[in-house]
Amino acid sequence: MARGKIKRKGTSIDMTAMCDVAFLLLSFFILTAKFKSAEAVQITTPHSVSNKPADASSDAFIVEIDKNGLVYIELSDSGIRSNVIDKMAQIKAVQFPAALKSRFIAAEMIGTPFASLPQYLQMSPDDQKKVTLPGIPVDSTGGELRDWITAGLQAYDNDTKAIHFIIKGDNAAKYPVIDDVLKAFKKNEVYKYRLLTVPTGVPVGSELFKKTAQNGGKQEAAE
Amino acid sequence: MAELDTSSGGGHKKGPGVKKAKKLSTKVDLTPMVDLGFLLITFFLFATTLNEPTTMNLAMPKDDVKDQDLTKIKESGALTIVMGKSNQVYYYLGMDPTKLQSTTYTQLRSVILNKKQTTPADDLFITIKPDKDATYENVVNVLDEMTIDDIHKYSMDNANDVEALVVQKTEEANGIK
Repeated sequence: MARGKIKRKGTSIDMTAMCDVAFLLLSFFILTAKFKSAEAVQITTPHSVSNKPADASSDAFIVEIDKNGLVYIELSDSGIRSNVIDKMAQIKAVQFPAALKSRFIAAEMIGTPFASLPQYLQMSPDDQKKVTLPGIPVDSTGGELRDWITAGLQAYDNDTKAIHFIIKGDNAAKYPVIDDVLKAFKKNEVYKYRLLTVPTGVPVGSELFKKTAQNGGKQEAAE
Repeated sequence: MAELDTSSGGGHKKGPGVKKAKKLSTKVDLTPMVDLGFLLITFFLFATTLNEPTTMNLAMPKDDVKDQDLTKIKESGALTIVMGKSNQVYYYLGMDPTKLQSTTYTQLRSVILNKKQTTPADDLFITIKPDKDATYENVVNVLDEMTIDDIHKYSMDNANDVEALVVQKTEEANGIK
């Protein structure tokens, strides 16, 4: 009896669909990647085992301290900036030029004494990049930073829950400046703030390590 | 999809002298391309650092506390950590700053744990005193150490004159600039 011929099947699979998927994924990842915006001031924050997300995007009042001990302020919510500058002008009892207000709102950070702020804002963006920011004056009574914090608080109707005070300090910043910044907060009766850090692993075998292991991998909310 | 219709349309019959044109397959093997695609995806996934910053909560006390509100510390349970310049760290037990001892940030943990084990939990109180030459990194490191060692009672203060002097003398003796 003649046996039926077994039809040989090709082992090659059509790769087109797979290729499509691969490149679709690739383009998706590339397009959704968020690029880190270039920072005006380079700050390397210290490491800590804390694992609370910073959520620095909304309503954050960030006090930045660079390695030379200069202090800057960054207001993450541009909507609040006009309010803040109004309050600040009120505190300083001066009239802030109305023409410069839009420039203030557009500015990413405050890094000059209040008196020279109009002068700085008048410069073209290219010139602004060239000048080195002198920083906000701080001293043992808080300096001008104290007034900015007051203005920030007032802009948020003194609601300490709505505004997030974050301190972003450089590794090499000296303690006296940190102390001055803390004093500026203290003068405003702000006692709780957050320090921005880069997360790092909990050392194996340490007390915290044992504790988190017991709690099922959750760090206790320490106050 | 990625094929073109190469079959010659129409029933055009070739003559005996006409050579049969060799039909080239337009099918391209896409396997290497898929490989490349996934390789790129993997590369980008691994090369991306998820730098979501985290924060450490810090609560400082009010300055204008009345005497009766002040935290009373037992001498037997007191440990003071003083941070000096060039990443030097010192500590002393009890209330006498002249008994200052040098240590390093890596050894600090064993110092704290030693104290923790030998002191009743309620008595232990750690005071963190950054000197004027201490850096922000030092401060955060020590605060982090409190979290790591599960210490609940600690405070941060400025180094007083005696401590500053002792640290200065120690630094001079050790030749630390």
